[in-house]
Amino acid sequence: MIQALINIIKTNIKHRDQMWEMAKNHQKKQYRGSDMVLLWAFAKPVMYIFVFFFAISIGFKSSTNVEGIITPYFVWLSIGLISFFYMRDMILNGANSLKKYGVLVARTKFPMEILPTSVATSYMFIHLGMLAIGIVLALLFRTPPSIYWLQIPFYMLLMYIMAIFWSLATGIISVIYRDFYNFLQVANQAVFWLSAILFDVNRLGPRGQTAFLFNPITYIVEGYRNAICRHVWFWEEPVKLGCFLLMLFVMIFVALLMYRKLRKRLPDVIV
Amino acid sequence: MSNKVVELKNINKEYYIYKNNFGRILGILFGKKPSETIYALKNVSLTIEKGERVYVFGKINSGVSTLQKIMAGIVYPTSGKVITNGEINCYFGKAAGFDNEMTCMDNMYMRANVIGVPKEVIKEHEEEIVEFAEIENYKNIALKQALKGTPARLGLAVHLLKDTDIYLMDENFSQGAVESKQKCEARFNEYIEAHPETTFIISVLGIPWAKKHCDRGIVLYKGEIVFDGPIEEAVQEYKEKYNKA
Repeated sequence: MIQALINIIKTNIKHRDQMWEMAKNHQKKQYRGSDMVLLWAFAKPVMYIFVFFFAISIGFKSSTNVEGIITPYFVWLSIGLISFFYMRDMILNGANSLKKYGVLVARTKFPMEILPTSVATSYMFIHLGMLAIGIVLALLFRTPPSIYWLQIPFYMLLMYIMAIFWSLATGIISVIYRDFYNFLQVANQAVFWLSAILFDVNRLGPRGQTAFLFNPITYIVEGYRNAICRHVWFWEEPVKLGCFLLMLFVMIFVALLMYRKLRKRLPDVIV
Repeated sequence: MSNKVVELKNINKEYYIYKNNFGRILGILFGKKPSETIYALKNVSLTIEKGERVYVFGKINSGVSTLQKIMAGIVYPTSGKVITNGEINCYFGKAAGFDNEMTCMDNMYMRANVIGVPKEVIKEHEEEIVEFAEIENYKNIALKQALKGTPARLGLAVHLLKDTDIYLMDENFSQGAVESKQKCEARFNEYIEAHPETTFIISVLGIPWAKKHCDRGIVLYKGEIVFDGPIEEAVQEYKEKYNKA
């Protein structure tokens, strides 16, 4: 298993330039033929934020009460949504990362190990842009910069690692078992509501809070919010961090298992 | 020092067909028997030395494509051993790495990235590629709107920029007009002449081409090597085996 991990890391280091170009091209391809690539890449998530803001703050005013935050609800909501959007994009695009480039795996001498990394990196460009928008919003809503913001790269790194191994595991499964991708498409609809994006997880009862401990998406979303809106260090919540790491290790284990067992079969079945 | 660049020892390749997706995952993970097994290669052993020009003869389902992919390290054998020595460049898919909706220039760089040609090399040869691919007036136009045959010309021009010890080709230049095909063939022939040290393993350019440029022929029939020797004899064997006039 360790050998598989070393092989993946080595391949990614050796082909880092190729991976980087693939990542850039992946976004270009999404909006090919369009003159305003950047505009469309950000328009959708920004629109989401505003729609949720109006729906929640005007439609369901009672939900906007979040304990312990030093920023307005709108900033809390935006920061959570921004980190969520990256993970939402990765759930399906990560699972499609190998199938989408199947012809490369089956017909060229191409290092397939860089595909999950390149897709995860590709959506990171959008995430960084969205995060910049989130920070500007926070500053506009009178949230002063703070030392707690320094934890954002920590949560971002965890999210990036999770995205890579998620893409590797689900990417391989989606190739071998085509129905899995259809299942993810359906499940993806529920993820938003099962990840405590719109409501404060700390307001739930003990059972609810325990259940959310094992949702890694919730941990990342809460992490971003703790850094910007709540001013809580990650080491102040060791149980949450421990549960997240446990889930991350499970994901890495499954990804490596799939890779080790199925890597050589992929070119036979991918196209 | 050994001059062997490719060595295959007792290679077998089987493809498994399952009735459905679920059967396939059960087969892969837990060894469930497939409903059908295709034997693409049966006990194939061969050695190819540095600088050899080898033509692999065979029709669809004879195992030619699988054999080349195994040599390239794209497909893995079910059993047997593959040893290669040197950098491999393979031209197996005209369309691999291309996106019809993107511009010809974007496609040029994407293809180069896919096969591992550095950006700087492409930049240095940009004019030459554009001229060969005949995309002077289509640089920023979607590939699908460019002249027919552009992917073949563009793909080949980019491919031939990759330094390589072993060159494998399983894709002809038949796309587009006859002139385009001839142009690609001529460019490829020039490349072969200019690289006497490189080993070429080709399977698609036809008998006349093979007779002119190759010294060794391998005939595959139903996944087995039925002949391996001088090109003239290989052609004869191929014609007999496949009843070709």
